Amino acid sequence: MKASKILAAAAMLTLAASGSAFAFHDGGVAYCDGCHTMHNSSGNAAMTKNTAQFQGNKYLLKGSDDSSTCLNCHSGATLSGYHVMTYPAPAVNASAPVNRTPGGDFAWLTQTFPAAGRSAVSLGERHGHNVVAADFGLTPDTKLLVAPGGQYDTAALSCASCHDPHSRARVVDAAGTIAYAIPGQKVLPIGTYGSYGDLPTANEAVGVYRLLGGANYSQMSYVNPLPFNADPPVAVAPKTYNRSEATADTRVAYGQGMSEWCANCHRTIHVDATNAANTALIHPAGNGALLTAAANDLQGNGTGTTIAALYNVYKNSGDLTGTVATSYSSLVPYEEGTKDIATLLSHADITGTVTAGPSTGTENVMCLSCHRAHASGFNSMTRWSNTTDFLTVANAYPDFAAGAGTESYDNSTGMNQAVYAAAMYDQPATKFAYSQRSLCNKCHAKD
Amino acid sequence: MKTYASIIVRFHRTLPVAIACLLFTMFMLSSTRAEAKLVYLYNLSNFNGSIASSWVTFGTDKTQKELYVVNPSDQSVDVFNKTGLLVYSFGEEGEFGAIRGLDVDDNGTIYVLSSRGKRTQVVIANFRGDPQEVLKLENLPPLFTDNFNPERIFCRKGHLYLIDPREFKVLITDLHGNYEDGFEFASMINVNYKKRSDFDIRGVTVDAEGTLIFTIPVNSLVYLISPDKKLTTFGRRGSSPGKFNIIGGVAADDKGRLYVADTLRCVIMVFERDKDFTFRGEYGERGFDPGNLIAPMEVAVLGDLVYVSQSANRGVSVYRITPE
Repeated sequence: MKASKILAAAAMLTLAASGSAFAFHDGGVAYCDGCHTMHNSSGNAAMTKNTAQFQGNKYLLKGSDDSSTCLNCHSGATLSGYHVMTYPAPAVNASAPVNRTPGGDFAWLTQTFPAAGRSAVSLGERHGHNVVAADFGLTPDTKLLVAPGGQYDTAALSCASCHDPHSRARVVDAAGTIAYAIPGQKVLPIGTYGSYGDLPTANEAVGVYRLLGGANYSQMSYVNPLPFNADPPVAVAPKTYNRSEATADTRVAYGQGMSEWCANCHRTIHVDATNAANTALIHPAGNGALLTAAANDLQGNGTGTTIAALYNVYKNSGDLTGTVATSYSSLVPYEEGTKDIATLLSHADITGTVTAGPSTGTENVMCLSCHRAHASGFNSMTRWSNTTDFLTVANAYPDFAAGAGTESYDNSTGMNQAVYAAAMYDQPATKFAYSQRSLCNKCHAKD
Repeated sequence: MKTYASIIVRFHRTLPVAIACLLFTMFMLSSTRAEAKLVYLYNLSNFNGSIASSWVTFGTDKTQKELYVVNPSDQSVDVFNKTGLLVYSFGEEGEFGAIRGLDVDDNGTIYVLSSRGKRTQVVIANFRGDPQEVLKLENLPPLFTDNFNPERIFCRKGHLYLIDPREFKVLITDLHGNYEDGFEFASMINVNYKKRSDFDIRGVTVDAEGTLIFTIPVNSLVYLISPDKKLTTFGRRGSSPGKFNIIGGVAADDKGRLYVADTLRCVIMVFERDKDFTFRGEYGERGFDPGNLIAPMEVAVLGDLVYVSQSANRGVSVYRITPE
C-alpha cells in the first residue's frame, strides 16, 4: 500500500514536471492572465508603466498590441514547435529564418533581397501578411492599405485577424462538423486542440484548425469589421510540423474550406468554380475547384486529361513519368475534399511514407496550393519563386553570390544559395530538374 | 529548592519561546541581509547615445570586466567596457559566418560559435576579434557526431560548454576541444525526446561551478543540472511578483542569486539559490521610461552589474545590484 502510494506520487510528480507543451491554448481560450492583466496591477504596483496602475493597455493586454503579445511565446532565435517568427531576424543573406512551419516564418517580412538579373528588389513586405507587432519590429504594409479583394485595413492586421485566441468555434464530431457557443445554444466544451487529428468525444469537442476565426468572428481590436462569413477549414497537421523538409515533406492533410475561409477577408478574389468558357480570368480555388477539371492533354488536344492526372505524372521539368503513388509535393498541396478527421489524420505525415497524389476525384486547389499563410522567401508569399525562370540552375539552387552575369545570380531573387534553400524548406535541389521551372507546372505541365 | 525548581520549570517553559524568537530574529536578519535591489544605471551606448538592438546575446570577459554583445541582426560583436561604453566591434565582415554566441576565457581568448551553411564551428579569436583557428573537437562520442548543432557557448574555469537546446544536449570540452563530458538531458527532465521541439528552451547559462541552468517557459520552470547530473527545478506559473508568465533568459551571480527574465511581464526576478530559491524582488516593469523594459530576454551578470536585452530595438539596459 505504502509502495503504491509512493509510486503514484512519483508518477504524479513526473507528470507535473513534464507538463504539456500544448497546454496553453488547449484548443480554445487559454487562462486569462496568460495574456491579460485585469487591473494593470500586480503586487499593488502597475504591471505596465506606460499607464498608471489600474489603467492598463488596450484590451487589458500585457503586450504592446495583439501580435506583440502572441510573439512573446511564438518567436525566438531558434526553431521550436510553436515558433512562427525568427527573432531577432537574421541579417539579410547572412543566414535564413529558421522556422519551417507550413504557414511560414514571419521573419521573411524583414528580409529585403537585392535586385538580381531581371528580378527587382524583393521587398520584405511583399513576402507575407504584414502583421503589426510593435515589440517585434513588424510594421504595416506600406503599399496594400486594405486586404486585396476586401476592405480589411492592413494597419490593423494582427495575429488575431485570422486566429481567434478566444476561439468559440469547435469541431463536435468525427465528420468535422463545426459548432459555436452562442446565446441560446448548448454545445460541447472544447477539450483539446483540433489541429492534429484528435477526435471529439461524447463529452468534449476539439478546437478548430489553428484556432482560426469562425463565422461571425470579428476582432474587438478592429473597428467596423466585416464579420467572417465562412467557417474555419478542416485540416489535420502532423504534430511535429516545424521541421526541415530535407529528407521528407511535411504533409498537412488539408480537408475542406481553406479558400472559402481566406475569402473572409479576400472576398472578391475568391472564385471556386472553373470556367469552361475561360472568361473568368481568375484562377479558381476552393471546394468547387476540383482537380478533375479538364486540362490540355499535351498531345495536341485542348483537353483530354485532368489537372489531377497532370499532378500525378509530373515529377519535374520535362519528366512526366510520375505515378499517383508518389506524386504528392508539400510545395503544391491541395485539399482532399473531405472533412472526415480520421481520413485526414491518416494522411498527415512527416515520415515520407504517405506520398500518394490526388485519386478520389474530390480534391481541389486552394489558396495555400501556391501561397503560404504567414510568409515565405518569395514575393506574394508564394511557396516558390514566380518572378524568375528557373528554381534550380545546374541541379543547384540559384545563388546571388555567384555574381552578376551568371544564370545562378539572375534567378536568385537576391538570395544567397543557403537562404534560397531555406526558402524551399531545405528540400534538396536535386529533387528537381537540372533546370527546374515554376511549380505552377505541377498542375499544368507546361515545361 | 522549591524556588530553584520553579525557576527551572519556568525556564523550561520559556525556553521554546526564546528559541523561537531567536530563530525568527535570525531569519529576519538573514532575509534582510540577502535582499538585493536592481538599480537602473544606463543603456549600453556609443558616443552618439544608446545603441538600438533587440534580443542580443552576451559573452563576458570577467578578467577585463568587458561585456561582449552578439547581434544576430547585423552579425556584429560589440565590446563594452564596465561603464557601458562601446570600445570595439568585430564580425560585421562575415569573417566568422553567422555568429550564434561567444565567450571569453581567463586569458582573453575569444571562442566564437558560428555557422557557415549547415556547419557549426567554434572559432578561436584573439583579443582583436581576428579569427585564429577553428577549434577541432576531438574524441567526441556518437551522441555529438550527429544531430548536434550547438546554439550557445560558455567558458567556465578552463572548460567549454556547447549547448544544443533543440536536441537537449550539452558537450563539455577543455579549451583545446578535447572531450571531457557530455549528455542529453531531455529524459532527465521528463521531456519526450520525440516531442522536444514543443519544449522551447529560452534562457540558458552555465554558472561558475559548471551547473547548467535553463528555462522552459511552457513549463514555467527553471532547471538546474549540477555537474554530478542532479536536477533541481523551481518556479510557479502566474502573473503576480515572483511567478512565471513567459520566462526568458537566466543568469547566475557569484553571490548565489539567480536572475530570471519574464518576457511578457517585463521584469527581472531575483531569487536566492541556496535558500530554496526564495524570491527577492523584481525590477524593470513594462514601459518606455529609463529602466523599464520591453520584452526582456537575455540576462548576464558581470560583477555587480546586470545586463538585460530587450525587443523593439530597446537595446541593453544595465542595472547595478545593490544590497538593501
